[in-house]
Amino acid sequence: MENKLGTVVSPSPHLRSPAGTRNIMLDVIIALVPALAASVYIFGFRALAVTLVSCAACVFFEWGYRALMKKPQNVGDLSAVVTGMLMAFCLPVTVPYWLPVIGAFFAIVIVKQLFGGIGKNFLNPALAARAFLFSWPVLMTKWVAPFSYSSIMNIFGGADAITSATPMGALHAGLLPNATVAQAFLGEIGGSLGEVSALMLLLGGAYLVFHKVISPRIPLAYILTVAVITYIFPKGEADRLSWMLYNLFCGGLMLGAIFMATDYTTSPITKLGQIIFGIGCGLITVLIRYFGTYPEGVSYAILVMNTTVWLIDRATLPRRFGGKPKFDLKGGAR
Amino acid sequence: MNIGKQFKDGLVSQNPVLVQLLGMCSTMAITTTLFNGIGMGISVLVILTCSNVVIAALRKVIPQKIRIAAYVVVIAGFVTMVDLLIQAFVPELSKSLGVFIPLIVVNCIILGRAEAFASKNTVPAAAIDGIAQGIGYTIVLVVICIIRELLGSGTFGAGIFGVNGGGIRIIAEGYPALFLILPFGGFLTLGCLIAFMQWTANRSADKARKESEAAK
Amino acid sequence: MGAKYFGKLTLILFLISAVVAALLGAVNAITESRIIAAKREKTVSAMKVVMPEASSFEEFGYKGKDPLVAEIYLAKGSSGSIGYVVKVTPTGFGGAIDMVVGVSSAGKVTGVSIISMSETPGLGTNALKDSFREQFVGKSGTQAVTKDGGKINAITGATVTSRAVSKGVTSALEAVAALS
Repeated sequence: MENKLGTVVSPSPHLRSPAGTRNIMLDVIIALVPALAASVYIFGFRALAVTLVSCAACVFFEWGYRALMKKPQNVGDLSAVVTGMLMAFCLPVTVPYWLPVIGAFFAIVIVKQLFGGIGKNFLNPALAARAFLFSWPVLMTKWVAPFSYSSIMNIFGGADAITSATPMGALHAGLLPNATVAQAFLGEIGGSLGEVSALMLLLGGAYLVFHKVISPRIPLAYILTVAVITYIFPKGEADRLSWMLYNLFCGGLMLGAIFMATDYTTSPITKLGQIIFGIGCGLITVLIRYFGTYPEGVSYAILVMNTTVWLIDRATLPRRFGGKPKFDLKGGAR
Repeated sequence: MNIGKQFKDGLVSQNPVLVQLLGMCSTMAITTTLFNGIGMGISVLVILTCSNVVIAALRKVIPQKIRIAAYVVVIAGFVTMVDLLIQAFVPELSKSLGVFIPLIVVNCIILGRAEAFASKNTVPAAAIDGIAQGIGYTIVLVVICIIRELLGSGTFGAGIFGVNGGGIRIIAEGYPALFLILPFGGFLTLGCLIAFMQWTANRSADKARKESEAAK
Repeated sequence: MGAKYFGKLTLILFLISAVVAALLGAVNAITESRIIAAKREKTVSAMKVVMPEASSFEEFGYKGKDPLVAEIYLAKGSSGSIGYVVKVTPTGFGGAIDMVVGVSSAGKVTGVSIISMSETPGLGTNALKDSFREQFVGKSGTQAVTKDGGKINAITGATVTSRAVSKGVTSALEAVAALS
């Protein structure tokens, strides 16, 4: 509403930030690019092809569901692209191309849209889809060794590549992986498509923190918890420090802690809550890695903690000035 | 006594699984093959009809104070009989349903219908109610079974058709989504069916309202 | 609401229970023999699978300490005893696996058959396939999957189940070895 002086009269808020959903999502995509580049270098262009199929399918289902249900379109907010990238990042590079398409359907339609769309889902769509895709356990555990492609451009032959043991398999058996710590840090190890290069994921994380897209609380609490427990209780005959470092750099810890546990919708909003959330994720991750039947526990740890977010938020809600001091579960938000 | 309405209640508007949400435990647990679904459905149908008839017949004899105890004795009796008969004559079914046949004793559909319907109605009405509700239960079970078996194992009618009762393979091995056979798949399938049921119910209600408004 | 009323309640409940009990007794009388026969047939047919040459099986007390071993049967052929059938219950991914292992007099596996299991459908249940079970035939000594340094090819995606079955076979072989 403009008055005669040409100034704008509008209700609060008056401080405006350019951070819309689209800009935030664009930042996340930019932060994921280094890890994707590393993946292409390690596993060949098939990694890029799987990611593109996954993103395209997510965008299609996001658009398609909202068009079919005659709801306003918001596919331009790029959140579906982020979901697509993250889901592709936790698949082995050898998956057939139909697998990410089914995953995209589950992530976008079942986990996200059926609960009301962006901001309303209670589970991280990419991780829920990964859990669902374990319906095909044989396809989901076909790992390849780094640089084992016949040609970097080969995007169709990936499924025939030699399967290899992953570092997580070794750690699960109480042994150190067959790679140096530096190789694990840079990403020259087997594993899911986007999780291998801890360095590139940390770079992306630094970019997000620098741009104030995420706060470092959840990733730090998560990674430090894993570090402390694995340092105090090493498994097998490994020495403490290298056991801890392999536990940090192998598997999906960096990807999960930086990009998945920090999803706005499925993580707590209070500062204390975020730290509790991070510690919880770390604890469950280590417990699954040590005592579970699966070698890796990051995705399930985050999914389990996702379901506790409402409780953590309620329990850590700051007390309103003059309000009742005691925490009351039934009372809800005061 | 309105037989048409009773059947409509049992199959659609008061469907024990999709509307009353009774008997969820067995619905989730055993609906992985068509054979299981039909076996469980018919077992419940028989037990429900028998217990409804007996309870309706005894409704004036059983005092209020001990009615639940009396119902449970009657229901448990019929369940045990059916369990023994299945073990003796259809051992394959008893093997694949396992403990879920004895657990029909605590299936809320049976006690629920005994308390809500049979104890207040005549014997023929209670018999019709047992049959209608039992068929409603069986149909839902069979639908869930077909969906879960098809998408989860890729077969149709395992235990009934095919070589060695392996069922007719529709989706090649390695492609079906294993999760639908796991308990999670039961919740997912049931949730989708309930949503579909509510959607059709709301839509026909909307339509009826619009028609009556147009008529005015 | 005196003693008379409670007496009436008790009597009615007693009568209902008595009638139900009588009916149950009748049904049991009809079905009992058939159920026992069906169960025996199931065990015997499973034992026949793992030791096809045997004509009869005789229960043989197991006095060892291995908790995985449930029962041992002496298998008799046309010319006296030809081996043992051991019922073992190793723990797999989804709980106990009931299986029988045939062991020849020479201490070699003649066959492995799984009676019941609650493994993940589509993965662990692949242990029922002949291609997996036949790997054990003719083996003796400790059995292990290739991942653990043994010779048994594990089922894809079901290492835990494969390990459990291998462990069961090992226990059966040890139990028979301890008998002689």
